[in-house]
Amino acid sequence: MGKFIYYIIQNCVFISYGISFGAAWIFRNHPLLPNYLKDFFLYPLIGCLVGLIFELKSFSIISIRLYFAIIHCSVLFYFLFLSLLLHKLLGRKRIFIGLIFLVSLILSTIITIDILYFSSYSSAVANSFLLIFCIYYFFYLFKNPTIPVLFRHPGFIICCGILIGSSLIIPFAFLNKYLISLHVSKDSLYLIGSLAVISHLIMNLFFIKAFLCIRHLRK
Amino acid sequence: MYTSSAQIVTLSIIICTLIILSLCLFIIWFVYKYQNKQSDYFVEIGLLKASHENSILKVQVEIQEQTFQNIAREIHDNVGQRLSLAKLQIVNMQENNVFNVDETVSIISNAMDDLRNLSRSLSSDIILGNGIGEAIKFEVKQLLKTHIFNINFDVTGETIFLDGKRELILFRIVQEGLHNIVKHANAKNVTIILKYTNETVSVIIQDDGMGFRKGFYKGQGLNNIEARATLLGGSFEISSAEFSGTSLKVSIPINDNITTL
Repeated sequence: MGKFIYYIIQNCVFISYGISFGAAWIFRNHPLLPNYLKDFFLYPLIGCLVGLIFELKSFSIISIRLYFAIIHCSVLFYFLFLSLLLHKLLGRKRIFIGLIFLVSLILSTIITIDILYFSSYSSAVANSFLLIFCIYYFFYLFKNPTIPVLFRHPGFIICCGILIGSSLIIPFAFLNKYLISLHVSKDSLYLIGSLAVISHLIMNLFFIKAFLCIRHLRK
Repeated sequence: MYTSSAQIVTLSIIICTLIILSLCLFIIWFVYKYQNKQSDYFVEIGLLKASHENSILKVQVEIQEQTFQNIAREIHDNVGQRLSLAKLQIVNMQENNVFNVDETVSIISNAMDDLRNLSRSLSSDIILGNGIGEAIKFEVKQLLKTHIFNINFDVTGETIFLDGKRELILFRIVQEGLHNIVKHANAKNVTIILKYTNETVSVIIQDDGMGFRKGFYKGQGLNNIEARATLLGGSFEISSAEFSGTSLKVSIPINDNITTL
């Protein structure tokens, strides 16, 4: 049952990546599209490719270690992409970009460990930093209240998505390895793992909403 | 079956997720509410500013209109009369072949003085350059020349320069008050007090003229004074009784951005 729910959600996530990619692609040349969203279609595109690899793994076409390697490399991509997006939203601060690359460097090391030991600390660390960056963005908004309608501001919606998504992933990603070592049944593990998968679904729904805001602006 | 530590870890994951999620939702809600409040506040401030600017524009138009009236009256009553007289004298001299130009020169000089005084009393540069105290002094000097009434002018407290626009409006209030006295009061003595305190600048204009009964004083001039005082965020008080003079007091608050002498 747990595995079934997990797969259903996983497929929903890939569909949401597809829709998100479609929205980003359609609006990529829109005159009202903010600069930080111009290349956004790359993010769901990678998501779709990872989905394809997930399907290949399900049919045992690729090995589990290769699958893990790709998944963790995509974590680094997600982190870099989203943190650079936040960096643009915050007005391109130099310290911020330094911090992003420092974290990326740390992440690369953790990813190697993750691939070797089948853990998911890189995801936990990447999402923790994304969460911190988002909170910083909200603090920035708090200090500079210049946006008239927040729920029509794509930057704000994207940050909400990242914040909620990251908050769902972090605890599971940190304790996942420990939970496996306690010999929890696979079914329960899949159920708890669904939490992390749902986070991607939520993020994508927020991203789609962000692009729909641009359509409202057009109206 | 779950072992107890597995149960604890699972529960921990769920509880941690819930805590972090609620925290995040709280942050989003807080920032959203705060931003909404701020944007409402900015809209309100914008509306107030627009309405204030509108009022200033209205008063400026009124002042301009009044200024034109003053110029027209002054030219017609003083300068025009003197120049007509000078012209008559010159024509007379031509007809009689008697050339005594001294009196004519004096009349033309007086007309020129009148024009200069008119120009000075209307120019806002004098007020903006030397402050309201000097501007009132000049106005008093001009009125004393007419010998209509005696005027006492006192300044109390430490002089504070307000911003130019505010001083100009306050000065126009004083001009309006004095104009009312000339026109209606039939007074012998007038006292003007310019009073500075830490919070306000007040102008008190008292006369010993005819005064008026309560409820009969709301003419256009006094309405203008009240409107201008309100525009400056100040207060306007008037007290009078029939045959025992009138006292008018306008107080305006001092802004934070002031320069003290």
